[in-house]
Amino acid sequence: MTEPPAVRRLLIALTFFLVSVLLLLPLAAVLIEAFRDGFTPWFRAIRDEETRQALRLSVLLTLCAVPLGALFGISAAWCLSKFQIPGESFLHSLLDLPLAVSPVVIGMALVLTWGPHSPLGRHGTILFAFPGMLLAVLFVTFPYVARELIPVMAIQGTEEEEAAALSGAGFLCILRRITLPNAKWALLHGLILSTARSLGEFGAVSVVSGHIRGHTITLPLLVEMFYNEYRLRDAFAVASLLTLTALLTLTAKTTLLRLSQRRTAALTCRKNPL
Amino acid sequence: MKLEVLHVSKRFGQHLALDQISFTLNGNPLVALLGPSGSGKTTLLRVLAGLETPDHGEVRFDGEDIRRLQTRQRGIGFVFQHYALFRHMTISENIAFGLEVKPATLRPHPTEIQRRVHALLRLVHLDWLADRYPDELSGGQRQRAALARALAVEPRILMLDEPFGALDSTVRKELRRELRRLHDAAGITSLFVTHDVEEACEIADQIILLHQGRIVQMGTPQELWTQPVSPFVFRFLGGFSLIPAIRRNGVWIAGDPFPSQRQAEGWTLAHVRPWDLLPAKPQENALTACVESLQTVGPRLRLRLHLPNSHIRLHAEWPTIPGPFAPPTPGTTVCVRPVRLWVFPTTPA
Repeated sequence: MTEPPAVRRLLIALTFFLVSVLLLLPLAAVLIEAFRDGFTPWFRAIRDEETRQALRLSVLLTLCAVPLGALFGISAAWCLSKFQIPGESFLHSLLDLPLAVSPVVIGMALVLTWGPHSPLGRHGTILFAFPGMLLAVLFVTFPYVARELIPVMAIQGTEEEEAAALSGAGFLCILRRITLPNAKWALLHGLILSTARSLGEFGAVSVVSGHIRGHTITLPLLVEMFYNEYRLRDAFAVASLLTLTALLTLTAKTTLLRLSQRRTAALTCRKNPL
Repeated sequence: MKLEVLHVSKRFGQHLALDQISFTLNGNPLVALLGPSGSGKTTLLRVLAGLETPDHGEVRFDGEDIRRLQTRQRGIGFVFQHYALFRHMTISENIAFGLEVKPATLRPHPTEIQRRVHALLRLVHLDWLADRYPDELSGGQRQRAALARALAVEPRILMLDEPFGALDSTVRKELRRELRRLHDAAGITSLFVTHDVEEACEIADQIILLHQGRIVQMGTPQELWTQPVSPFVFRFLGGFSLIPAIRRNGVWIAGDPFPSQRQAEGWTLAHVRPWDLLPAKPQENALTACVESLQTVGPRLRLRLHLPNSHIRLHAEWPTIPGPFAPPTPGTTVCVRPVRLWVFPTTPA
């Protein structure tokens, strides 16, 4: 801390200003716009049949995508952190792919892979229906759980697993009683992030959904639809719903972080009574 | 239990970690796997535990190939170098783990598990820490907890990887006697990895000395000290000096020949232990040496000597005799006599 106090204060002020203008102001604007005419119109927009369909679909997608993503994420993290496997670095960069590629491109890629003319999509309705949208959400949320777990599991090494195996525990028992409890904060963190992403995913889902009214519209798609139809108040009401879920997710994440730190702190206190 | 190791080899990339290891253990000895770092001792222990698969060879417990046995049936209690206690479980939960994961038909009743856990905690003197978490314990306490956990499954064989490596020297000494006591109480075969000669000699019945992935010598500590098979064994066990020696009338005699004489008359380099180089009166077999420096370490006097007009340096270690014994001072000369010389067929100079 060698800077003079004036510089320090200026930098702090600048940071607050930028954060407010770039991040907080737009979010606040959404909320203000949504509640401009009070709660009654907001409620009407939320209770609209189209909104309820979109909410159901979004929640259903999340409920399917997050556990599946967690399953894939745990297996990927297990393989990459506990074993020496050929092509490890390649798999690592593959995990970053969904974050690096634009969601629209992912949507287009899914259309090509699962469309009616491809060998994979020929036999059933995948595109422009729930399965296709689930594939899109899985694609974009795949990295979150794995990326949270890998560093934690890698640091913890394999000795505890080996000790459990020599005590006579089987594979699933080791996973359930040793590996996952040790990585539970990272796992929860990953789950929260992938929940947030699967509720809010727009690009990839938009392409594969086909925008079939009353069938394949999720909350983010509904916002766009209302907006394009000049139903601004409804658009902002749904947008505020998404914003609130995002804030809820952030709160959950912060609380988790606190809880995990508190356990560590409690341990430190018990070790050093002074 | 009978442990047979047959021609076990293991390669990591270019490095041959284990090279045709074979040995058999009978009865229930406490065995030290001793060797310098990189000699393959930890790899050997991991192969015996089934944590690594050997490239060649077989490991048999009571005549059965361990690859045919499920991990549970192998009956191995393993103590890891860094203990590997389950960090999210209390000490008693750690110890109970091996009993709780048994299949329902073999699992003891919960009250029986509790009883056994407490018996083990008492055995390792940790009953007052039963509900603590591993990161609240000191190194020595974690080591005891890991031992109790390894013994909980009533193993046929107990394996310990550098069990005392991370502990301070007081706790080390205390715990190795503890290990001896627990080994005798459990009546099982125990194998522990160490690079510390003193540790191995103090508690082991048998020592397996490894070097570059091979067994150099296997035997009791006494056999290793009195019948070392190679210069490596001799040098690894303790301090030594190299001194020119020649065989006259069937006896090796140390001396300091002129360089020209060395080749011609069959001089060779003999090993001598510091405590075999004793003070002597000037006589035929005594050597005159200059004192470079000396230190008193407890009851021993350590001297660094060199022979006049030569590069030969000697280490001597004398007991400090009570009474009117004046230790030599640096710069003076003393007479020393090697009471025992070790000559190996091919002594590298």
